[in-house]
Amino acid sequence: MKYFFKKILKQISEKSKLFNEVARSKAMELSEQELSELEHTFAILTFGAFVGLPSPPGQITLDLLPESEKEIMLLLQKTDTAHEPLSVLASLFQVD
Amino acid sequence: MKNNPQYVFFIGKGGTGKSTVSALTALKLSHEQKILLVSMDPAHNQSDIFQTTLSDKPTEINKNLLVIEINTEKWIKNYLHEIEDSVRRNYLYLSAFNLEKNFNIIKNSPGLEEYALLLAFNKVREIYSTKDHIIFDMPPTALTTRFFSLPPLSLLWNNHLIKLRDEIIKKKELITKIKFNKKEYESDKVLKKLQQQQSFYTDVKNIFTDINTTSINLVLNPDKLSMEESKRIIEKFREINIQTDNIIINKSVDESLSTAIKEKFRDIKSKIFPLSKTPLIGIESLKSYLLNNNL
Repeated sequence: MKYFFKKILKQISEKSKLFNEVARSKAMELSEQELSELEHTFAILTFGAFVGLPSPPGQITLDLLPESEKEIMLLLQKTDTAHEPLSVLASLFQVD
Repeated sequence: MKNNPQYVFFIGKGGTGKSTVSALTALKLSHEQKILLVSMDPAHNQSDIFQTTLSDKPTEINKNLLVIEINTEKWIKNYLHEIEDSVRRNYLYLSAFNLEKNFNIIKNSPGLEEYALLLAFNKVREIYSTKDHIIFDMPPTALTTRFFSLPPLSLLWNNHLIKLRDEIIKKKELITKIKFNKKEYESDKVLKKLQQQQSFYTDVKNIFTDINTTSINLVLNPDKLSMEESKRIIEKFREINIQTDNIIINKSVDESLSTAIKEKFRDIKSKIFPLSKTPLIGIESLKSYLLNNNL
């Protein structure tokens, strides 16, 4: 009987280790994606000029700001979905 | 028909005496003409020179001479305030868009100081268009160079953005044609704004490069540092098609040295302002200096 309980506990322990590893792996994947997006955003902000994305002088963008609600909404939407690029891609190709 | 005023800029390294030379020139010209002297230098020495408190409202020095001081910080604040007001009026969905937090950072951004001076310049020439001369006592070299470079730089960007916006509009029209089988013409407010910007920067750029409208006077002292910086200023201005009209050799002590400097800048007209034995503070000492030196 003792041996039987020991066996069950061992199995439970092994299973929980497995669940733990799977959960860690998923959490790590998500964090790596978030990290990648953050690094991407940082690179664009600081080094965009070197890859064809320079920023105009401040007053040009400020002057346009009152007429650019739609553009700001687009950018905000992009930052929201930046964490889930795969789901955006899936939705684009209508993958269920 | 009254012509527009002539815009006279005094530029140069800090401490060369731009403010004093501007004040002397304004006083001299005001004998027969209507003059406005504008202090664009944040150091604002004109109030010390004329021994009177100055502000952005004109102060009368004599019947033909008014002086104003441009407060750059106030201009930046007012500009950002206007933008904030327009955003609140125009935005339908993003009414909670937090501008104040962003503007507290933006107000110190590179480029805003010289843009504020450009807006002030434009306002001054609108309001005081009946003057014969508007004299600008400019900040030291770095800010002055950015001020004059801003219109051509902004136009480069503006032209590029207009091209991009035109393409966006063409695509939009194509999509509505496919969707609704007719072209829907909707006026694009962003394009309109870009075109307004283009008109503003083109106007100002043309004023700066027109030798009949604008006179650039470089003030230097008879020392090596001042001369080297002056050479760089002239070269920088040439790159943006702005001609230096006059060199003012200020605080001259040694006539032979001043003559040698004149020779170095022989392509440009020059004038010598001798060093004054007494401080040039107050209208009487300025008038006395002009009289004693036949200026």
